[in-house]
Amino acid sequence: MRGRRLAGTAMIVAGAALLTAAAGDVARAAVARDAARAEWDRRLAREAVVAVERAARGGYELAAPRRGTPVARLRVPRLGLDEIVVEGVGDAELRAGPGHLPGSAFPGDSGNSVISAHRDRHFRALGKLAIGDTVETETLAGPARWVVTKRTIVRRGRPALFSTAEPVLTLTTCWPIQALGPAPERLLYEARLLPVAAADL
Amino acid sequence: MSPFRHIALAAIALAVSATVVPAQFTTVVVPPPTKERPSIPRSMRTDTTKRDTSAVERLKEMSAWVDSAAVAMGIETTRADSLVQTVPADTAGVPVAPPAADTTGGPVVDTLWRPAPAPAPGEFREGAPAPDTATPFPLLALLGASLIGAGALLRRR
Repeated sequence: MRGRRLAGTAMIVAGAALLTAAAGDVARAAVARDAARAEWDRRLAREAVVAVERAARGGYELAAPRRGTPVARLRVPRLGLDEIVVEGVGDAELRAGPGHLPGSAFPGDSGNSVISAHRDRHFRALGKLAIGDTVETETLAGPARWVVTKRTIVRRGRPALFSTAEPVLTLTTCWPIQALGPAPERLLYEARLLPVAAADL
Repeated sequence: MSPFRHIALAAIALAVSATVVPAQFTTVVVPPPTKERPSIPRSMRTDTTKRDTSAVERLKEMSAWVDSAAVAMGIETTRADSLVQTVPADTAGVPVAPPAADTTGGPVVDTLWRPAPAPAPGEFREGAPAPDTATPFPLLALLGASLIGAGALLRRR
């Protein structure tokens, strides 16, 4: 009887520790997300100040940002998704928001721009994205609108990301969305840049 | 008056009269015409370097030939050959690197070339898999809740 009570107490303590760890990570993620949004707003404000100087120097040139730096804003109006994209896809970066894969193009530039996020956080609703949906991005270089053209599910570890000559936006997360533990597959969406006239920019 | 006195007076008179006469140049020494040195293009400088290297190589081979002949004749020779180590003077003003250890017709290898570093994990590369975006925290939360429920059941009994 006494041993069973002790075991029950130990299980409650262990369970509380696990819940605390999970809740702590969620709280840290919320703080990091707010910090990324505030930093993005500051960067936009600074950008407005130095835009004239940069134009005088001859165009926009985005240096490789440090890991964790906000680099873009990602919106999917139909899903109500509005996130600040940070540089990097490590644990710390993905805690703050969707991560831009270093080495890939920036949204709007020529090439494949890859943005990934956790399926249980920032890209929780990504599974509902449909072909034909509109995705909006905004970088320090300016806004861009995309139309989803392709949905792919690939096995984990399989080649999935390739270079492109034209601007392409690739959104990735783990699949299935509702699965617990390591996900066996990856969900990828490919979006093509809408012309400026069609985007009404 | 002694003859020595006459000689002394004559010497003084000659010395005085000699200082009075001014020096006179009747011609100008013209330096020999110098050859105008043409500017050497960079490609020719490289060519010069190559020729110098081959000259050293020939000298090295001759030295080896002489040494081998000396060994065959039973003559003691020292292996050190100052000619082999000599770097030919570069008249074009471009520094010349010492010749490579093996220049016997092999392919020229650029020792400055370095392979491009492979992209680190978590960076874009051609054919890369999609990033791992799974977190263990939903599973941990579920496990924690299950443990708390089971522990509560055990304590209640």
